[in-house]
Amino acid sequence: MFKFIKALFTKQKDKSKTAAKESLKLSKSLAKNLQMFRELLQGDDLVVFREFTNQHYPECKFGLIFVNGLVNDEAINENIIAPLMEFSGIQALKEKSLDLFLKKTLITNKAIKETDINKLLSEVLYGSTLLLVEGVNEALLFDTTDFKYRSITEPIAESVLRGPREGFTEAILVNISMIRRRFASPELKFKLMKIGKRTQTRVCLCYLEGVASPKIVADVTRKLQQISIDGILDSNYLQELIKNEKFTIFPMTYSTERPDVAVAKLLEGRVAILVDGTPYVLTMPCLFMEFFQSNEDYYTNFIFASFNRLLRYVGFFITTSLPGIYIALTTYHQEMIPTPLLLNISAAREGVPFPTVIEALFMVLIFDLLRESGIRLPTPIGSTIGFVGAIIVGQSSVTARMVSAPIVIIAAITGISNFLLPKMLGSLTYMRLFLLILSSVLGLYGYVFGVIAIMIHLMSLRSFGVPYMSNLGSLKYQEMKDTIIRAPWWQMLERPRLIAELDPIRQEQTQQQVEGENEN
Amino acid sequence: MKTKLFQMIIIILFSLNLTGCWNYVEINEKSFILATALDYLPEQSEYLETVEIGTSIAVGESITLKGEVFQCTGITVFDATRNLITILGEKILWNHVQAVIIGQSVLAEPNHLIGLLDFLRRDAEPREDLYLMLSKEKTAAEILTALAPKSDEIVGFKLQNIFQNQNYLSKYKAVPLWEFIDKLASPGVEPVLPTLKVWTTRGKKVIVVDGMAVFKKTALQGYLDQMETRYFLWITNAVKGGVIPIQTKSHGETALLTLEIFRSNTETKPVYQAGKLVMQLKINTTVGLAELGTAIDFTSEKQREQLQKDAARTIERRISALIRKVQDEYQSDIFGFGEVVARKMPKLWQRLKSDWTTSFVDLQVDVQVQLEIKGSATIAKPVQLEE
Repeated sequence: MFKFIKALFTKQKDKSKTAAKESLKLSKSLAKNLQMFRELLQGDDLVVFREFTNQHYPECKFGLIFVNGLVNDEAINENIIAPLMEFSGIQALKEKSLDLFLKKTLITNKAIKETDINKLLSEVLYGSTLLLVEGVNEALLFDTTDFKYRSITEPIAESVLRGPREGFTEAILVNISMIRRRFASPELKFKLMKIGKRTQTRVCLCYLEGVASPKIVADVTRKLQQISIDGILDSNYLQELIKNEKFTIFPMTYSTERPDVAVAKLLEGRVAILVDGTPYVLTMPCLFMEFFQSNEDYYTNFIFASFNRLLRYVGFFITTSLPGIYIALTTYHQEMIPTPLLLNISAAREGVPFPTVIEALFMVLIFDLLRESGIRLPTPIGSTIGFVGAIIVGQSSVTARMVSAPIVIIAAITGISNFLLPKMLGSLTYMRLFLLILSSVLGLYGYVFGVIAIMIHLMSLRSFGVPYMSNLGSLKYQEMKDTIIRAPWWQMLERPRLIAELDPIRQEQTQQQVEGENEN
Repeated sequence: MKTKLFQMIIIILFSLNLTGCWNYVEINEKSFILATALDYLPEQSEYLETVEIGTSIAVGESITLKGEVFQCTGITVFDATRNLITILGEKILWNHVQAVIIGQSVLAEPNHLIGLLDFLRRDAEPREDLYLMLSKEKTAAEILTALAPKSDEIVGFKLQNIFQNQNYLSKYKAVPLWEFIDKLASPGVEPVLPTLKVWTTRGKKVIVVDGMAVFKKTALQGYLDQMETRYFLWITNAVKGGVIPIQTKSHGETALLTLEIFRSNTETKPVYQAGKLVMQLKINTTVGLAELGTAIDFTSEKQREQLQKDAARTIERRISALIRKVQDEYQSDIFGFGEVVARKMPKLWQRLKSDWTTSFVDLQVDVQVQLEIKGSATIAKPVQLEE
């Protein structure tokens, strides 16, 4: 009912607005045009309307519209106003030919002719300069955008010991330049579009033609075009709006702050989406195992990297299962704990008022609490959270016999392992709680049922048509090479076949490699 | 979609409650038995169950483990176990029992022992690899209470350690529950149990394994001492290590020296010739010189061969003597010769099966020991005296 009314209202509004704008057209009179823009931009005091004439032919009047603060003043003065004022080509002035102006006098590299009012408006509000000429019902748009953005720094959330240190910024063009700089090949395509009815946020779809599956590119493009939200402030808006599986705790797109990671994903045939205003770039299709891969894996020795990879799988197991298994063992299957350990746990629990389940839930939640509060606090206060967490919660709660010591250890190990897979934090928390509750009800049976349920769910997921768990169950070497271990670069012969179906060969095996293998 | 999801969540939540956590028990609400001693009180016709419960006392930050002993009686073993609740106030679990000590009084009536074994095997809690042993003291309870209250040591762990480290000594045999029951059930082999005694040294009581009890099915036939147990282990191919003190004569002087067993292998082969069954025991043992109580250099080839021969003869003699003793005094085939025959000569076994005890008593056993001295530890020559 409410929805219906809401829909009715929004539709009406939209219609009236667009109708008003559509009826607007550029006329030949400069004064009328300027008046129209003044009305459209009424209330925005930052918009500058600058009128001037040519020295040699005063009948030729010009009008400039730009937004103060978004534009490069010098460029407007030196390259647009000055040449037009001093231009002596009477013929061109008389004809009022925009083409001739562009050819002979205007010293700007990015300029287009445009008549669509909507487009003109959105460009002006993003930093372009609009030139109107008396007697012409067309306008020229100059890209004079020049605003301040955060300088390129190392991303805090994805720091590495070895590897490139630059990260994306909030400016989309800078981000695009960072990708392009790593990729001097014309096959890399960038498609710009504007999403968000009101914010008109620039979004760039990026893919490697000839490698990326056209089906996936078309699918992503279609989904992006269908979005009719009013504003996009971060890539997560798109992440949620375009995902197929709406109700899953698992992330269905991969997001990164690092250009090198984005380029690596593009090379594997994935599609990247850059959004203006956020340093997080989305890549898709996304596989489960991507969260176990770190960009540093590829920059360090493969033997060491494989160890780290295995560590992440162990961490995944610990962080999801340890509390559940602990509860199952201590409350249902005491025979499975070594005797001295059993007696120790029993002694540690002596006098603790709560059941083990409550204890575990309590501690696991406390850890998430500390984590969440630690993130938002300024760094100097943040360290106190550490002290409070360690001393008050850890130490005191044990000595006060509020919780038992083993559960504190379990919660701590679980929490630390959590950060081995930082991009999956949310899903890990849910899986942990799910398994914990099931284990507390049915013991190890419950745990196993939970694991089965999670596996069934994971196996049923698809990210843009590609099975989410693909390659984890494969027995082919070329498909396993980058899952449980990180194979050496000379054996990375293929791209993931389901994603890069057009050109799955990454490198041909060289003679040297073949010889090396024969020797072994 | 939403209502469906909602319904699913509701169903799952309710079904979780329906299971009712039937087995959920907090770990500190149960007591764990670490060792049990069982006696039979003929006057009351009741079992006397003595259990050692593992408790841990947390003093400040440190936790010390301690064994506490409780006693209770019951008409059957399980009855006694449940009666313990009246004393302890907690349900006790058999999951972590390391050792079960059987008192002599239980052996008086075969069914008492069978009842005990059946309970241990049938119940879901006790492990099949818990160690069984026989008390040589009047009651089994004496063994379990021997250490208390002077020592905090847990008898269950102590006994487990004693039997797990027997490889380095080879003077007693660890008998897990499954093995004892297995031997009771299979023809051609008789069960044995290690025997425990309490010694008092310097006012302190200690538990020792002093040998082995020989059974004929459930009936106790007699005992073997520690050295005899060693030879028993040798015959059954169970020697993994240990030391052999040997007296040898060389250059007219008697020398006492010690050999350490590295490896040993025993092959038992039944031979049927001229209507007579003969067991051939071939023992191959590798030893090292471990302690020489003489200045004679045994590393020389000649001396070594002499020593090998001497030692082998000694071992042969003693093994033969043990077999004779068991045949004459106990008439119980604890070596499992019958089983070997059954395995290697099934047709013959069919004939002998019914009267194997007689056959065993008259069985001729040829013992052949091959001793090889390999290595002399870190020094070659013995400690020299100044001439």
